[in-house]
Amino acid sequence: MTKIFKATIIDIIVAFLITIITIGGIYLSLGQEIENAVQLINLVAIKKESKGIIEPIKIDTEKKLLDKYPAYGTKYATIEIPKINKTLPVYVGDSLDVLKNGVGHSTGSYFPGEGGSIVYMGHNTKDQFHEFSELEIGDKIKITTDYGEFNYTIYDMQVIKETEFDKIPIQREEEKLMIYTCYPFTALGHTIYRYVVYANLDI
Amino acid sequence: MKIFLNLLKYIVIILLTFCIIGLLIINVASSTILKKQYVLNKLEETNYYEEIQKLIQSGFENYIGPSGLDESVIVDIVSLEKIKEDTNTILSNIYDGTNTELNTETLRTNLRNNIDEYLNHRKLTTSENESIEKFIDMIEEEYIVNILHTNYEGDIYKVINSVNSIAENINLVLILVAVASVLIIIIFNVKQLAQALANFGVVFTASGLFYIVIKIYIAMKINVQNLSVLSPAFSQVMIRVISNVLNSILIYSVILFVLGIICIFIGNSIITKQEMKKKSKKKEY
Repeated sequence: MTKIFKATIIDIIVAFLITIITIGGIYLSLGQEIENAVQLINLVAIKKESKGIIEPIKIDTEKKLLDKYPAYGTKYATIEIPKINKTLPVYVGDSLDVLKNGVGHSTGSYFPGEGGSIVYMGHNTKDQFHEFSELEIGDKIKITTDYGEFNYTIYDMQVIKETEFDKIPIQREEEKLMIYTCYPFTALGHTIYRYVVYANLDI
Repeated sequence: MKIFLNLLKYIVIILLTFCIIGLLIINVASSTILKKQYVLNKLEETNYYEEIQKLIQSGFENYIGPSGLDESVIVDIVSLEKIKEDTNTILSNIYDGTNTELNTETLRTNLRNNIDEYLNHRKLTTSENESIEKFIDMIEEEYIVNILHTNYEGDIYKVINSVNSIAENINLVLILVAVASVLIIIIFNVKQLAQALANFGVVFTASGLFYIVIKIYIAMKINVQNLSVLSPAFSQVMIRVISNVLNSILIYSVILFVLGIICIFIGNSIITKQEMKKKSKKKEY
């Protein structure tokens, strides 16, 4: 019986060695490509699990920079426009999915407190910006974030075409808030015009 | 000469192991991901059509807000049967190389009728008509994007067709090489076929072990259950397909591994018993 077990174990060891040689050969010839493919899959196609408690955002008031930025699609602020009695959540992003939930923050623009252009957008529906036409120069807008409150005063309103991006300029010389919605407010179907409200940061 | 023959024997064993490894993966792939009916079955199993219908409807809702129209205009403009029909069209384009375009006339007509009803069939200005046509175009585009997921159906068909063709040829070559290897092992051990059985056992054990290691590697490196590709509905289908493929491979590899050890044990038992018989006969003389 011992002889049988000895012979069996030797053959099993041979099988293990063949497996090691096969895997070793594949790893030596394609190892880097396999690792790259696995990394790519994990980066692109695997949902990242939430880490639980998220650290609050802090702002460096001297450098005017946030220490980290909220993820796309997350709510990070509230906007209040007392003149039209609106308090709405602000989400990072400008896709239609984001705008369904509230006001969108254009990801190409700066955040409140960073001293640059901030671009928000929202639908011209009754629960969002349908009453934008009632806003006047001098009206106030407040944005409340985890890292501070920022007050703005409206100084201009314009009707622009959806392709006139130069009318919503991105710059870092001074903090300006630009909020736009579809125009006319009672348009049917798709409209090519946008109603933009411009506001300066109150110092 | 004996060393050379032993070396040759092990080379043939390794060759047969490669053949079994190759044959397993090719046949599992050919009967799963490369087969249209298999994918269709998975779509049914994961309620893909119902989930896509919800996704499409949610996509339509995004356009209602800025349109000045009521949500009722986007109700029932595309049926579940139409979604199934269009999904099957796309799969046929991908797997069979047909080049059928999606027909969205019914969607456009239903939407136009709903809008007319909502507006009480009032006469619209030219610019209002243009805006509404543009809105209908956007809804149509939203439907196509959600159903289609890709603009590369033709390219995917070429890849699948070419993979199938290569897989068939490789399958044939592997079978021929495997048969030749089996015959060589039998010829090497024609005086003691139990040794051939033990050798086949080594092949099965090595092949099974190879795939068990691969399965463990994939499980450690990639969290397949968290796969997220294109849409949640599509992700669920991919998760189900990949999990099934991996599970099939695991089952076959465990069977091979266990079968291999049994063959090794039985082979060596017969060899040992035969040697003991010979020895006792010699002692008698």
